[in-house]
Amino acid sequence: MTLFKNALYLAWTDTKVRYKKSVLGPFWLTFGNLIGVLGLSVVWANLLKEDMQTFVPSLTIGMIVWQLIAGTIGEGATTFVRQASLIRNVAIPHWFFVIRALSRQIINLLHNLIIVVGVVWYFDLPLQAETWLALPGILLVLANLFWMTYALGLLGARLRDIEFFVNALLPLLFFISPVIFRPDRLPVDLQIIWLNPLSYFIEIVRSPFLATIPSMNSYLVTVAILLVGMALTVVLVKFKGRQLAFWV
Amino acid sequence: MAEIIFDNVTLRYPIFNSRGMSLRNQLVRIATGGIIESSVGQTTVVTALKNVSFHLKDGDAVGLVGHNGAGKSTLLRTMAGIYQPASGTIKRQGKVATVLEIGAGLEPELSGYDNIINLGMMMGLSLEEARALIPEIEDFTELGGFLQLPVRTYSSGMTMRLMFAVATGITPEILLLDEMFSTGDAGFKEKSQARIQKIIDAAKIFVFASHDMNLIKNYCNRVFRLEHGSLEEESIETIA
Repeated sequence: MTLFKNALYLAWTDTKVRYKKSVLGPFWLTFGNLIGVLGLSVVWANLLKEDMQTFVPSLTIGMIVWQLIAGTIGEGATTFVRQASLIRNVAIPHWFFVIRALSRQIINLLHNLIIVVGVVWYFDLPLQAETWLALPGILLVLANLFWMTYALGLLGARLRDIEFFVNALLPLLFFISPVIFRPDRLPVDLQIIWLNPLSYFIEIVRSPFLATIPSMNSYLVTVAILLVGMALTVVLVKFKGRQLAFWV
Repeated sequence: MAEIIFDNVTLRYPIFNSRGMSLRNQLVRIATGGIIESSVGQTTVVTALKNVSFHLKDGDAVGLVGHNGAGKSTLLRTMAGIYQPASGTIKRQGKVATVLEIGAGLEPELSGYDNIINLGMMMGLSLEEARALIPEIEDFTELGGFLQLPVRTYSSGMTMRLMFAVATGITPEILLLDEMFSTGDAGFKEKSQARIQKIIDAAKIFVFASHDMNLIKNYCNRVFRLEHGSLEEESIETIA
């Protein structure tokens, strides 16, 4: 339990180190995303002939959830490799590094929440009972990101190509996920996005903010991915986890 | 009570060349059913420890000797629980602290103070407990104002002082040291010896890998010689 708390604290230290001597610090991320959201809103709202009032909030929340997912998965494969000197010199349970990496992403997410608050306030989004459903949504996404980081970290330590492979795949996953557009508002039927598991992750966090209850289907798929992924990760850790110190 | 029991421990570790680390070669290997296995995905397996058995109990101070590459560092890592054996059983009881590699686990951009807290917390202390280590470490390391500077500005001797002070500051029951006193000056050697003596006197386990027979004679009461991964105990008197 102490170690779990320590992982959270050290994630905060990591964040401070990352932005040492910069004035804005982690708010550079917030700033970068703000610019991204503004730019994409102007371009895509016009291209898709969408109403700013509904389009901007949807895009903003989609982007921020996507940042969390892509950031975590993109760095997942280097979770253990980056900590190689620690892993080879101090006996620390491996989940410690997973929690530490994931917490760093959550800290980034919290900085980005400022944009969400800004959008909710500016567009006067109705906060109602459904909005609370975003909370279990984000928890489900984080649980999924936990096993993904753990599994990718192990695989990435053994096979160094995984990191590049995942990062090559991420842009594709971005294009076939409903980050920019709303799936129900497209002129064409884009069923392909529902082959992308990340689409469901975005749906269950974003829909509550837009005053719709996420579909049962989204929850089922997310929970199914969680259970299968966790089971595979447990097997991977059980049979290969002992080798990690030799791999990094 | 601290204890380490090794029973017939064999440790092999794989060394992957760049091809063994590559996904393409792993796939080719599956696809070709292993016919050209010899040329792809080569991994060399080193048997670093061979059927090693021993029993360490409270008050044991062990000097590990052996030529370069004999397996001293590997044995220390296995004792610490970092490396897992291929066969045999290991029983370990007691809180372990290690100083194996200079600078391992330190964040070069952070100050000495921040690194003390980081290291302490990674060894399982709470934030308050880690903070409480500071006065004593200030005193022991004699680094003074340097503790406020980023660790990247430290010399290897200063880094060693800091790491040793944290590792022994958490009052471990098992202290594992790899050869490292070469970087410390005379004053540090004297102080560290006193600390090690305190740990041994508190009836704890101390294991120290070194090439310096005088140091081993000073610190230790048992001697293990490693040769090509095989371990043999020698009498401390016969050590030249």
